[in-house]
Amino acid sequence: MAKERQIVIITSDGDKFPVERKVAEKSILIKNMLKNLLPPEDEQEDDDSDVDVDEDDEPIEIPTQNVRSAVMKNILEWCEHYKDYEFPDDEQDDDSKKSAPIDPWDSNFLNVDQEMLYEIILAANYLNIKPLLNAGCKVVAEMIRGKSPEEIRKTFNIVNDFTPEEEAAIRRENEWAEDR
Amino acid sequence: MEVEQIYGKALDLGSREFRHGNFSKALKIYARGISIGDTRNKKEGTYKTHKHYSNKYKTLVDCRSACFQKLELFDRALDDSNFLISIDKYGTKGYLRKAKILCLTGNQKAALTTLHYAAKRIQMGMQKYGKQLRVNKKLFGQLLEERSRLAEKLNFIIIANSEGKEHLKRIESKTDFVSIFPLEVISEVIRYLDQKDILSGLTVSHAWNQAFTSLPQALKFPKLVKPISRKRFAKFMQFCNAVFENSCSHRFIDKLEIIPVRNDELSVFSQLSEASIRISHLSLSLRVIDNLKLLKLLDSNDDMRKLFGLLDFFALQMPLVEDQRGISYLLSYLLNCKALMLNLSGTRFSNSSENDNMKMVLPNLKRLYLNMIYPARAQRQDNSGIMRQIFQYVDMPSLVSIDLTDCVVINSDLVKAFNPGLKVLKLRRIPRLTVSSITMVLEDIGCKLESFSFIQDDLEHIVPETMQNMDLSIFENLRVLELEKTYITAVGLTKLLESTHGLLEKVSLASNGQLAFGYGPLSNRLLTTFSILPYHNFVACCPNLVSLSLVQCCNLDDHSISTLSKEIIDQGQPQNLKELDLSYNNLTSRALTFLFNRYSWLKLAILKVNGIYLSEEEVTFLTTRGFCTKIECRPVA
Repeated sequence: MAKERQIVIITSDGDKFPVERKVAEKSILIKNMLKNLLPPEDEQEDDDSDVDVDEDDEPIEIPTQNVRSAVMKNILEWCEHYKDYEFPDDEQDDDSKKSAPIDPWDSNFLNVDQEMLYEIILAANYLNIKPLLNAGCKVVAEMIRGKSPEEIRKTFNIVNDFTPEEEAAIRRENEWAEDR
Repeated sequence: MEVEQIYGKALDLGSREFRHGNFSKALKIYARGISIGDTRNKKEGTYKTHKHYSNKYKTLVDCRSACFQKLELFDRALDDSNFLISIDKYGTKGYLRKAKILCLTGNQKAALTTLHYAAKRIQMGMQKYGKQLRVNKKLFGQLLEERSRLAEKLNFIIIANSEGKEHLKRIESKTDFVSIFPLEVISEVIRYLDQKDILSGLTVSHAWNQAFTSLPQALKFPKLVKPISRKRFAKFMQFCNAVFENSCSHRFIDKLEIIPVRNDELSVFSQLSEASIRISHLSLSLRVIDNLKLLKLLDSNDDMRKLFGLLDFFALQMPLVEDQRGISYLLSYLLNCKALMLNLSGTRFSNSSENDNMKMVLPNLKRLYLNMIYPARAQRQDNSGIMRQIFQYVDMPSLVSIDLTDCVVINSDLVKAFNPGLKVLKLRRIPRLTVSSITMVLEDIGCKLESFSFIQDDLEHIVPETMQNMDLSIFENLRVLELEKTYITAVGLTKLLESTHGLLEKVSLASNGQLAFGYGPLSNRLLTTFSILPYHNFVACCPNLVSLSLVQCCNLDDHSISTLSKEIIDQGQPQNLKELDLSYNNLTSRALTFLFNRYSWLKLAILKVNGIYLSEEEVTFLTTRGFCTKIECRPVA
């Protein structure tokens, strides 16, 4: 079998992370990039193109301008954990998804401070890692669930920019709703 | 020269050079002083104990470290500061030096930890030794100050616990995700929230309000107050409009249940249709508008026709008035509907309605649920005219599931309603139908049922059914069987069970008058040996049973259970039995000792034995032994 070319992810702060292909491909963004650069893994043997052999030894460098190393380290840890797991095509079936609890490993993995959590979510969104994005958003949703507006403000350090009158008006507008 | 004098001289000379910025020279002088001291101490054999390191010696080490630091030989500087800490654990200088070097090398976190450790250690020392320990107050204050400065910078706080011990805690940075996430990610978050949380979100801040009303997810499954007045419904419409406009999305609501206030039905209705929102699942409860008024509205209102025509699922509760055009015209507006639930109340119908109905087709309808509601049993009516309108004039070629309650249907109605694709049939209180008559119709059509539930109307007298000379192959795919108040005999039921191919997952038998489960003490006059259900065949036919319910069964006593238990254990099936309901039978707790004896491998999720008395010990025994996770046993009222 042809030797696999190494993949190196370069973060916004210039750090280089060499990764296995299947780990990197948890990111659909990277997967699509690689699709254009490399033949699929199982077809590599048949690859008898004119590509210079030397060039094959050069690692493929993938720059990710929006992700700093501390975050990328976390992202790669997650990808590594799930590298052999095929996620089912999600899309819809919202009801069951809504009630499903967060996977305990994910929950522990995402037990970081808010800033890091947000950065992981944003990176997952940018790199297109759907299951990680979902898990992260679920954690944020859990921070909101069952809280009063004041408690929500405290949780996210938000200044209430409504006057009491405005707030009361919005509450009145919501009178159509069951269990407000 | 005495060692102390050498130290003093080295300090003097060194610091002079240091002050002039000659750090290498100063370093040499300090190092020389230290090494002379070390050699002398070695000779005298006193260097081993820390006591013999004099203050001047310690100062020399600190000064040497300072020189290394100035010369940017940070590793050496750090070594010296660590050495100083090791020979003077209650001294402030070593820690301060170390923290300073760590800060210079960009390791502020480690510097903070060092200072925090130092503060704790020195405070401990002061407690332990009191005034014996001489601590430089000025330097110690400086150390505490530096610690606070770093803690603040790195987002830590120093908290003292109840015993006065201090520790470092990271302060969580709190940030509003709405201000940093793109809208598509916020919408991912909202997907996991309930309406209550979404509404709380609207009053958090202007930014949240703006974001939340820009997302169609906020309107996925709106839950309205019940009943809802026209004023409140108008507010709901406003909310919908705001969300649709802000999000530029389709005017679409997935599921909506509306129960309008009695006098506001018409207003709510017209508001809904004017809003021209496509709704997929609509549940509507009406008490004033009946089928005729609704029909009139539909005939005259384009928007409303559009709303009805696009429904995928429609549940309608409404009073029914008999009319020439009947209900079939109403159904003709539900062209796209895949599932229809009708709860109709009405008390005066003629049983023959000769009308000018035209034939129509509901091509997509898969599930039909039809329940005629009567305030009391005695007021039940012959509604066969209505049924004829529905079944004879409305073609439903895709029906997979039919569920009828209190509907007077006759065989020719069923022939029209059934089609070879029918999988689920539920019939409750349908006069004149029997297990045999239904079976014959099904067989004619050639459907293979997966679920069959039949609750007979017990007001009638019907001859016992033995299912003789009948082709029961329509039951070969059966997974669910429910029979209540039927006249099926043990022979008939056994034949039926034997015709299934062992796929049955749920069997429920209740109050079937001709079905006995043992000889029993109350020997029934009608009972012959043939009408006792043979458990051997029963268990053999149900290898995949998950749920078994035998409620209010004739002669189902402790002895009968012991026979059943023996068959289950002997045949080693059904392996997956999870639910067992034996409520309201002539049982005592002894029956359970038969069922859960030492050979039993049953592991039930729930056991229902309502109507018998179980002591607490018995309940604990069953649950702790793992026979059942949950036991339900309510005494008879």
